[in-house]
Amino acid sequence: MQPLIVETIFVLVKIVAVLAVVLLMVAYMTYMERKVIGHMQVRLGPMRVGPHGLLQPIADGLKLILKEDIIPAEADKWVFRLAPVMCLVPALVIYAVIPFDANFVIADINIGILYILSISSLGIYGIVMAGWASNNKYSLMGGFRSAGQMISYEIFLGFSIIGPIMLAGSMNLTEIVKAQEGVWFIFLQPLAFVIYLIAGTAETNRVPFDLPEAESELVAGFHTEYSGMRFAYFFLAEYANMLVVSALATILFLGGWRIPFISSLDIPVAILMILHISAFIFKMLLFMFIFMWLRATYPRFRYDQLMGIGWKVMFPLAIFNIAATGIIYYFVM
Amino acid sequence: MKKLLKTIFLWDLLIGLKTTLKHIIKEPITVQYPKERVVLAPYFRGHFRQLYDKEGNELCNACGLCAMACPTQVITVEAEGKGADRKAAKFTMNIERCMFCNLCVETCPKKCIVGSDYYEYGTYNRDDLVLDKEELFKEHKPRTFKK
Repeated sequence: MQPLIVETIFVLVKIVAVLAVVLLMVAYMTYMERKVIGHMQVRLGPMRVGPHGLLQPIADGLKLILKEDIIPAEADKWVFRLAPVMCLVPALVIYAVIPFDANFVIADINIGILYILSISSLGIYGIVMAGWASNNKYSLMGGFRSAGQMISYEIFLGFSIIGPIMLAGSMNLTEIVKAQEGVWFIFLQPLAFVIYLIAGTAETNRVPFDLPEAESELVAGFHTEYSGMRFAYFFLAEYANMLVVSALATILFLGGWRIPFISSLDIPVAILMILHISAFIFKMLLFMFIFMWLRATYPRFRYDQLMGIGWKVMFPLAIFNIAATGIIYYFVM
Repeated sequence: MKKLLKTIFLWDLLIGLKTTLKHIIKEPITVQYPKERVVLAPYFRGHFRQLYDKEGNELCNACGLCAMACPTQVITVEAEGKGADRKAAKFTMNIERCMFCNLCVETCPKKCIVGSDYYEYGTYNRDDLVLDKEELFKEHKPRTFKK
């Protein structure tokens, strides 16, 4: 067969594999969150559906699929229908550049970080469209607040990423992981790590920055008028975004797929690939656990406090981090 | 100075995180009803029972003290027989009105009316809540569920 066809089939298989695993993980993140937060509150999470509640996401999915699909009468129908898709698809498309192993990337592009930042900006469109199309002033307010928060914190996310990029010398994600062969970047850039964590939490609308979608504040914010499968899309989009932020954090700060001593040993490539992919997923789950830990611990910020912290505290810190990294790098090299 | 350092390193936030993490190690205090049930105190005031004595005869001699002691007139007693053969012909308790004060239990001279551990006696018709003699002699055990 021609090499192009073989190559295409290979890429299609990789895409299907990654998407299947990611969607399954996203569904079970909802279960993991309920269990983890339950145990942190000295109670059990879901226990009745299946053994220890393991079939709970499936039950939730079935319930949402079977619900009535309501579109408000005065709503903008096409925008209403398009908004959930605009939220979910950018979150899933980012997985095209994330390297799970040295040889397991769907698309190894040289400007991986730029691709990720630009695609995640598209997710904000989905939220604004949802707020607008609901024909509900509270949803509109929720959409505006969420968009403002996400845009601001995306800037700080970008600035905090510049530190590891400077150390690695490339925006290619595989190169960044390879540059961490000596020391993981979390030890060289602790301030960037903290800023990244806070910006990532705000970017995905998680506690303590979840005012736009908090249940007791603006009813449910921008997704008030959505029910059934459309609401499930927003929910999946939020968890997919969380997984993306976790994946990027492991690549930039925790050494990606590398295991401290085992990666440099001489093991057959297949076994090493399996070990690497498991290590990557383990580190991603560690970050997801941190997100859920934060949710179980903190109350939420008021919107003006949120924006104040962003622009008055994180922005100077991020710029200071870039300047300090540059100066130290210049003197060390 | 110490306060400044604490603010820079987000000390209070980290203490909050540590507290939450300690809780995840503790065993949950949830009692998964109906698979497990809460352990009850010894003198729990549940459903009522009339007791038999060792030969299988009824202990109750229809003295009517429990009916007189009851503040809400739950018990009605009708006696038959004389002397040592005095037995209750009719003994009904209307649990709808009962407030489980246990005055009837305390005043009984033969200690034949007692409370028990059974508390799951919700029914669909009100007539089931008027207990006559045979009901009261039955010993109720709670249903067990596998899940």
